[in-house]
This record gives sequence, structure tokens and C-alpha cells, in this order.
Amino acid sequence: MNMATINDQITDEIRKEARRLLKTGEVAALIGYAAGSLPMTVKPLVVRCLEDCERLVWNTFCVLNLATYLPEVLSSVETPYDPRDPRPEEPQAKVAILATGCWSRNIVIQIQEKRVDRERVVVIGVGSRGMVSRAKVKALFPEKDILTVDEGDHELVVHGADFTETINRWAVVRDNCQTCAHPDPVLVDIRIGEPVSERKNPHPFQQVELLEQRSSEERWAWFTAEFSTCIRCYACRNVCPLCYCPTCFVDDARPQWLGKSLDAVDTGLFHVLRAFHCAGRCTDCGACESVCPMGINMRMLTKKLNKDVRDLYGIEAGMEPEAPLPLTTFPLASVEFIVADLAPLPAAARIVQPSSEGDESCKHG
Amino acid sequence: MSWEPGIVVFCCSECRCTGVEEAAGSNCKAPCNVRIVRVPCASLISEYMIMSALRSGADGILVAGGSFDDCHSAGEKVGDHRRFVLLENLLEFIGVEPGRVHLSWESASPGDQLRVLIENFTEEVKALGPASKLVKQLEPVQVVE
Repeated sequence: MNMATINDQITDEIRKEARRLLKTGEVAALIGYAAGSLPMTVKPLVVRCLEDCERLVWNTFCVLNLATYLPEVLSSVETPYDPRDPRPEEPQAKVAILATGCWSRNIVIQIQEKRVDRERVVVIGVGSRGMVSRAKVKALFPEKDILTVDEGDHELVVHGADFTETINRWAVVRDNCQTCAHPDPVLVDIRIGEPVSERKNPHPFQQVELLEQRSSEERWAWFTAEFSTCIRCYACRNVCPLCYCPTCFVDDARPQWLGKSLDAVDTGLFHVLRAFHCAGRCTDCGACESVCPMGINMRMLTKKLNKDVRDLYGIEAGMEPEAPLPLTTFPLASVEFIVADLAPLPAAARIVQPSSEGDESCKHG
Repeated sequence: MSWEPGIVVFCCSECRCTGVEEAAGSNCKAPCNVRIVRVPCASLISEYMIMSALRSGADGILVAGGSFDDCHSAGEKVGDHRRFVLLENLLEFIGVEPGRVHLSWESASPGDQLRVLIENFTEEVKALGPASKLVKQLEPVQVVE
């Protein structure tokens, strides 16, 4: 590549912005990506000093969700205080984080769930052009070693020991990015690069709908086959910004809800319950699927729940920091709709208004 | 002997269990294949309990909460209803027969109504046959001498 690609320009801008933010002391840390040790990988990087800014990269393989690391980095820059003492009153140091559409929606959810203080986060918004699935590229070159991948704006040049091939970028973009409707961040403090327009996607849930049309037995066959290879490494859980319980239900020993073996039923139940816990919160960032070493398509379960939450409660997760969480805050008036008929609500009735005084609505949990 | 399905009923003790007591008071016996789990509030029933019952081999699971009007903690229950509808749909999506897990949110009922509800549900589950999906079956352990 002779000319600087879009992502090269973005990398430059990110480094420049990181240097400025850290130099002025506006933020104490910045969460971004560094190049990974294997081709087509990146690793999350927390930049705390100016020298590290040069390690930041932005490319088409940024598949992890940086929001996962935000609460921990935020608490690492706080003034230390004894847990028995009240929180220190002085303003705490800020943390900057890179965010595309789905990651910024996850940050919104963290704000809604009071995991993160909006005042302490500086969101560096980058419009996503869709991230490439490493597994898809690898599948194009079976039984060959890929050594490096050069990136153009619309194509990838794959180098191996004895071959060089150019492939179309969009063809290997992850499924969730291909059906994504909100590639541009919903929360932006500093903008990097050009804003990406909302994509009009007529069939965002096409894959789910195709499965729904099949018979019950066929769906069961799909489910057992898909999850039979799971090795219970819990990478999907650990990488998810929504999974932050101190003790996960799979680690619980008393009561032990699930067996810890590779029994097909326990594995299946793990995936059903994991997906269920993301109901109404999942932004379809695809991190779970991207990190799965076995290539399991567990995103179908969360996608199905996203579809139901949209159809039944008219909510897309993480679009507005002020909006209530769909499964915990709701006006009592909405009960009749749900009980009377589980069919999609009319558009006007779908919008669940946050109640200001809390007399009409109930907060749960 | 004909097959009788094993039924687990999660039952709100404030609303629905008054029905159970009335039924017991009038010497009405519960069928032996029905296990009633009384909970202080329907919102305490977690997805774990339902899945755990399924995993342990229950052929049918009935969640019996009271109506929204005369519930002492209505809001909680609404939240739960919203969650359980999603769980029911998800189970159906992965291929568990619809009707295996049944939610019922009706008004506090005298004993007969709850009995009728359980009887009807038992009939429905009977038509579905024994549960096999998401039921954990352990192979018998062979002791090597």
C-alpha cells in the first residue's frame, strides 16, 4: 500500500489525540488497541504515559469490545480510599476510550447501570466501517499459514510463505457488522475521522428469521450441533462488557445450577442462560463470537433476544443514556399490552416513557 | 401402567397458594406427580430454578403468579413477566417444545381454579410426551472390580 489508508489516517489521529489528552492531563489513561502478536489480531492497550501513544493502532481487526475494560481502568485511576470511608469528594481522574457504534452503546448501558460515571469518561468516537472476521479470512486459505495481512480501503492483501492474494474486504467482514444499523457512535466527545451514516438495513434479523421458520425439531438439531463443540472456556463470557457479576452463575457451587463438565445439556444451558442475561442489553458487538476458539455461532441466541425485545418492548439497547433499561424500568400501564397480547405493539404504544416521579413506574432489582 | 408426567409448579404463596390450602382443607388430594414449590413472591422465581427443574427431568413447568391487579408487589412481577416471556420464546427458539414451560398470571383463585389449571396443564404435557430436551442424563457408572 503506497497511499495512507483510512485506517492509517485514523491511527495517526488517535495517537495525536492521545498525546494531547495525556499531555494536558485531561485524562489519566486511554483505552485503545496495540498490534497483536499474531497476524490479524490486536490486543487492548491502556495508555498511561506519552511514550506508549506510539503503540496505539487502529485497523480492521479491532473485534474486541473496549467497554469491557472501562470500569476497571476507571477504578485504577481513582484516589485510593478505604472501602469503609465515604467516596472522596474531589473530582476523579478521567479515562478516554475509543468507541465505535456498538461499543459506545455498551458504554451507554454501563452508564445506565451505574457502572460508569459519564462525567469521568471521554469517548473518542470512530465510525466503524465493519471489522473483519479472522476466522472468515482463515477459512479462505485452508491448510495454509497466513503470515501478514496488508490492508487497503476495500481490499486485503494476504501474504503467506508461498502465496500472495488480494481479497475483497467486505466479503470477510463479520456477520454482525454486515447487518449493523448503527455503525456510528451514539456518544461522542472527540470525533476521529468522518462520521459514518446510519445504514438502512431492511432485514437486520434475517438469520434469526430463517431459523424461526424451521420446525421445532430442526431448530433443536441446529442447537445441539452448534453448541456440541463448546469447550466451556468462558471466553465469550469474559470478553462481554455485560458480564460483570462477581460470581458468575456457572462458578456458583451452592447452589450449583449447572454442571461444570462438557455434558451437552450443561453446555447448552450455559449458553441459553448466558444469552438470557444479556436480554435487553446486548448491542450485538460480536465480541463473543470473535473470541470463540471453536467458532460457535452463539450470537444467534442474543440476536433472537434482541429481536424479541425490539418487537415486544420496542427498545434497542444502549441508544440513550437517559432511557430506562427495558427489563427493569417500565410504566405499569404497559402491563395490559403485554398480558392482553404478545403480538408486536402498535408503534405509538411501544415507546416506554421514563417516568419522572416514579409513581407510575417501578424499579426492579 | 400409563405414563404420568412429572409437573413442577412454582406458586406464589400470597396469591395462588391460598388455593392450595383451600383444596387441602376440603380434602382434595393433589396428584402425586405434581410438586408444588411455594415462593413468597412470583418475582423470586429465577430463570435458574426453571432451567434447573427442566434439567432435573421435569416434564412440565408451571409458573403460577397472581394477577397484576391484586398483587402486593405488582411492579416486581411485571418485570418478571417481561423477562419470562423472553425466556419462553428463547426456549422455543432452540427447539424445546412450546408448552413445556407455561406461565400463568391470573387472579388469585380459589382451590378449584388452581386445580383445574394444573389438571389442564398436565393434560397438555401428557400430549407432549416425556421431556428429553435439556434433560441431563447420566450414564450409569460401572464399577471395575
